Amino acid sequence: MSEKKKNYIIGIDLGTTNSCVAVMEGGSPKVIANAEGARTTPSVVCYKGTERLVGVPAKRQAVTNPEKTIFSAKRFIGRKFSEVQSETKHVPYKVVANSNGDAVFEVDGKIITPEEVGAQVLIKMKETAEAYLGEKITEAVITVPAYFNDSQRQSTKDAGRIAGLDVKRIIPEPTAAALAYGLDKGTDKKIAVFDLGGGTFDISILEIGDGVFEVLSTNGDTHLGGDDFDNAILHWLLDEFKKEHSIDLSKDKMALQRLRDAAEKAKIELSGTQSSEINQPFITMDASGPKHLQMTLTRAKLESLTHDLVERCVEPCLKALKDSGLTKDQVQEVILVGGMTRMPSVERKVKEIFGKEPHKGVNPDEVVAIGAAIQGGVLVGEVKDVLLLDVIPLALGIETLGGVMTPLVERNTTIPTQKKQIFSTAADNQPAVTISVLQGERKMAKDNKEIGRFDLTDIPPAPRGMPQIEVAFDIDANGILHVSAKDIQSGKEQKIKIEAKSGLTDAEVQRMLRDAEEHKEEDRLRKEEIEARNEADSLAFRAQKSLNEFKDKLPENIVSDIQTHIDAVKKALEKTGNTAELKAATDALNEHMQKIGEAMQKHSESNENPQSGPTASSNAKKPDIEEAEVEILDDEDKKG
Amino acid sequence: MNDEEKIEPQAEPVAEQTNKNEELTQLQKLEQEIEEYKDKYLRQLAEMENMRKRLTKERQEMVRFGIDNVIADMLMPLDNLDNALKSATASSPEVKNWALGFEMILGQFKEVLSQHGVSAFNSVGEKFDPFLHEAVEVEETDTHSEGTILQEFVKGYRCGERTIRPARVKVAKPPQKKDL
Repeated sequence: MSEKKKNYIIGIDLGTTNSCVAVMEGGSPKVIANAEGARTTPSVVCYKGTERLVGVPAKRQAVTNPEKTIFSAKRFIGRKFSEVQSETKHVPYKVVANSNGDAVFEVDGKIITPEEVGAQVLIKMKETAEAYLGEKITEAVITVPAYFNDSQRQSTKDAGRIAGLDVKRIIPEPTAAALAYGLDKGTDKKIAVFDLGGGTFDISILEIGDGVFEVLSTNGDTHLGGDDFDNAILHWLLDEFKKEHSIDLSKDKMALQRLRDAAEKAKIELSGTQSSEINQPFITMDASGPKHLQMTLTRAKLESLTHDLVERCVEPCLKALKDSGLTKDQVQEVILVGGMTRMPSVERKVKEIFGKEPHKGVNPDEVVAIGAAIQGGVLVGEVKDVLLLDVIPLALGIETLGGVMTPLVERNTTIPTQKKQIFSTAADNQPAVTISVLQGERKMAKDNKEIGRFDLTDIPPAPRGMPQIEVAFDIDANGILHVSAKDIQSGKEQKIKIEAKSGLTDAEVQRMLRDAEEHKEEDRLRKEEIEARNEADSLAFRAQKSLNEFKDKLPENIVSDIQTHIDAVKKALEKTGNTAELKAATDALNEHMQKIGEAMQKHSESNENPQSGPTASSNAKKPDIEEAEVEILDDEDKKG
Repeated sequence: MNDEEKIEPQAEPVAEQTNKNEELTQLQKLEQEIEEYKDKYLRQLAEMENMRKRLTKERQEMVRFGIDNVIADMLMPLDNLDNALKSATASSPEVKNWALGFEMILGQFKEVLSQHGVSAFNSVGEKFDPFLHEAVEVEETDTHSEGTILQEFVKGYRCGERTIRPARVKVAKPPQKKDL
């Protein structure tokens, strides 16, 4: 093709505890899973001689090698040793000052800089992207906390360079989150980004105008995160167990590990449920035998256990608001970032602080990487270059037998597109079909909007169900819909064009979607009934036809038996709202119909007659042939 | 180039020439545009094809990881059943008989696992490998070389080359020298 190589700029969220990588693919951002199948990778690096482990394996061996396993390197990147005195107390590895006073790590007597550690994580993210995209990656957008100063940003950039990445842009994490939610578009606004992750809490207030982001203020708690919540549950479990069995499990490393896992699991589960069972059989033993831990943690209990932790988020938020010079009413949008914001009590607190419903919908663990990928896409030109393809807001279809809406194009289908389906007639020798073009999500034609209608006439006489009428919907890139109906046998065709603007306003679309949701069950029942009626009617028709045709060749008892069943179906069809009864009658008839086949088979075997049994026609109906609603042609004007 | 000529249209032939030139540039422009569209179209097509391949690959992986995850979730209850049966050995004959039955059920579970190519691997005495093991504890000892697995708390499982669940283990460490 051309010599201009198509390249990707990946987006990397280089986190304190976990990192995540995403890329723009076909115009939308995509988070890439690593070789272990996980969408985030622990930001942990282990140095052992010349060997380096990154991510999950590094984490697994941490206790064997605490002084050589570097985690939370982000807390030290681009900082002076004198600034990070308090941080050094939290980590088991050695932090020292190098010649110019920068904080660096000492492993096996060798100096390792935080940039090098960051680079190892970045290499892993880069490799993850390369494995997925199948090409070399050389460029990236990397995110940093909004409060990172120039030195910290430069160091992060250096980490990228060490990893072999040309860092095209360093962007603040809250800005990336806002990009992921598309908040850069539209008018000026103020946004609060609430980020509660694995180990840190950050609140940032941003201002966006003309796609330019400005961080107005930041605040937070550098040691507040998911682990604290897990620990709160863990301590509760230990206390309760001690109360009940007078055994202290905190000394038992293995039991502790099991409980820590159970605590995290319960915490995650309680974001979706009101209570969680924690069952750990054979957690320990004493002289009287095995001991089990069996507890129920309710959401209410979890919230009381973690109340203090959630409260710790309040003050930084208020301070950030104050520093930005804004009141909470001046903040238009609130975004949630970090896995912990899935917890209902955290979300509630955010709502309480800012007085508005926060944005959700983008995975809070991935939202920052997604925003970085979007920024990468803008830089590579992908976002601008790719035609913004439209989608159709509501299903498009035609009315079929019994007033049913049969969609041909589902809602949210990207256009341009073309869909074809074969329909047939509902009566013998039917000369014409009316194609009523519908827009909407409801099951019944009358509940949707008719946007066009035309007739296909001069269908050659044929038994019902025989003609094949191909209906095609073609929507071009401008949203103009072309509907055509063609009788395949005669080649006769009829078509209309429906302008995009003849459709609906956004408000109407929203109303119709709501309507469809509200009437879902009712519509389903109604459609089921119609379908049952159509099936019953068509079966009774076919049965009668076969019966009349083969009457002479069948034993009398079978003929009368089947006639009784046909009559039963016809009778059931006279009433409405009796779907179950109708279905039973139809099933019974269907079963007895097989007797015709069996009898015919016997007959043909004895007569050496190769004619196939009529059962074939009763069940082997082509599944894609549906019966179109019939209106005898009256040359009605075309609407649309 | 041609612009200069356009500025001063004098005699007829010159104007004609200008028109021709204009047509030519117009044609070139259109040709270039066609090239661009063609290029864009081909790129888009190629990208679609690549995306399809990636999606196929990703789907296979997702199925694989999906199955692995479900199996991994099943292992904990199985461990517990195992533990339960181990502590039943010192019981009355009646309990032992029950335990035997449950042991057979456990055997059935393990059979299902092995049918899916999942098998437990032994860790005690092996060298610690973070791709197979997760260290929960270390013990200082001279009797074993550094990195030897002394005890296994939770069995590890693997399926072919993949570790379904790492074994949770206690690892040997040489006694601390008085250097700090």
